[in-house]
Amino acid sequence: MGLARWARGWLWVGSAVVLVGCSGGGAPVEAGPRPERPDEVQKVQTAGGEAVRLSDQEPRVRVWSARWGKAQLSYGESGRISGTMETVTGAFYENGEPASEFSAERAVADQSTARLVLEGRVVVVSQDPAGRLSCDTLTWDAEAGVLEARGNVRYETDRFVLGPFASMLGSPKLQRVGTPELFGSQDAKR
Amino acid sequence: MRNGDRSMAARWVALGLIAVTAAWAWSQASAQPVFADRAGNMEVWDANFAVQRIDGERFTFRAVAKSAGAPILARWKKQGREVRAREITGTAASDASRQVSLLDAVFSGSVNVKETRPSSNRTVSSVQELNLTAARAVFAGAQNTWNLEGGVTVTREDPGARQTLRLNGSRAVLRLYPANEANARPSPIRQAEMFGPVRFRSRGARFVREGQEPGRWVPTELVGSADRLEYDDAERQLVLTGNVDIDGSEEFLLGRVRADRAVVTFDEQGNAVKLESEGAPGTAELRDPTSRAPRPSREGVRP
Repeated sequence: MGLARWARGWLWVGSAVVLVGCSGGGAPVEAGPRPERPDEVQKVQTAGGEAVRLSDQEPRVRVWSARWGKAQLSYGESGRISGTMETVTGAFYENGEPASEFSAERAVADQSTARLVLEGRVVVVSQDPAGRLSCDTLTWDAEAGVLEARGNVRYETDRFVLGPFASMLGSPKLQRVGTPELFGSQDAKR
Repeated sequence: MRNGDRSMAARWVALGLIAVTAAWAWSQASAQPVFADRAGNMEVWDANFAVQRIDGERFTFRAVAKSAGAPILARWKKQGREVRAREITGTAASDASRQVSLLDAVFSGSVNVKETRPSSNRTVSSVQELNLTAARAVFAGAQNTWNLEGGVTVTREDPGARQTLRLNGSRAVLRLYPANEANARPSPIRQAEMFGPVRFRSRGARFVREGQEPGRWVPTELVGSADRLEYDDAERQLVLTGNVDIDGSEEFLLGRVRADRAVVTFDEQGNAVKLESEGAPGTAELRDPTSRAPRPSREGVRP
């Protein structure tokens, strides 16, 4: 039993692709409600791999993807992933479409939510409009559609530099960024 | 305690106080702007800040002062503009040289605008400053216009030309010459309209070439009030309407003038040279021709 589960986890890592909650073609494996019984969790160490997190709500679309150099991952029965990935790169998605790319020393995925926490030399890069957000830690709250950056937060474009601030919020494409008090309020008083 | 111990303790206390004071001063001073463009033109200091990109060049922004004490400081160096306010909401754009300029903005909360231009006296290297204060100011970049509301003060100081102008009113609209036209214009103000009650004070100096004591500067002054004030630099005329009251030490002024409407004309150097008044009651209190001293300052018009 334990070996079978370990083997499944190994295959999952060995394939170097993790599609959480869906198969490779995008057909949901588990579209129903979460199981009431607690997840049985297995942990696995891996030297390299890739994960894609889908949204909990329909339509189930990508909310983030990550590639790592080394990771300790927990993989539950419900198909959700959690754990710590090191030397990580990946992408944030908005409405299932790539919005920005990131890199960090570590990423911590929360099994119970679609949040992804990046730690250490975090950099988020957007292409349209071109911009770069750097900070110490960053949380991607996929449900709220907000990036929460903390610690030495700077937002740079080829035209200007914003920061450093202790914390900033941003949209996944970095089209909107700002300190928490003002984020999203640029036009509120126009 | 021995005297030596007391002395040492006092030294440590003094050092501690110095350290605390230095730390406090350091914490109060911002080390760097929170927003800066790549060309070194636009800077914003001491603010919480949010940006929304419109495209690669344009963006909207909002800045609010970080603390209750210190206002936001925003600078546009090549435009010669510096603004202090509690809050700014605006649109800005960058050009090919990556210089960010202000397209339009609303400034609120003890707004203080400083526009710096070269002195109207081309023989000196000093600058002239136009200071605008108001509770709220709206800037329209396309027209280079300031719309000021609430306790408006407009001050122009040009030490190199020995000229100062101070206007007080409740509301004003000022259209300025762009900074890149400054060398061709004695005054930064292209057009001005101020609503009252308006009080004004214009001070200058006239160089005396002839007479008993030639070769000296004689100070001149024009003070007054009205319901409304308009200035057009193309005409070099200041038009005052409604309850006009003018006095001063200008040579053309024979005494205190009260009228419905008055027009003051300035020469190319910005010195008042002529006054025309009209309308009932249209009175003038003639002054002793040997005296050129103006009346004491009126309430609300500070030197």
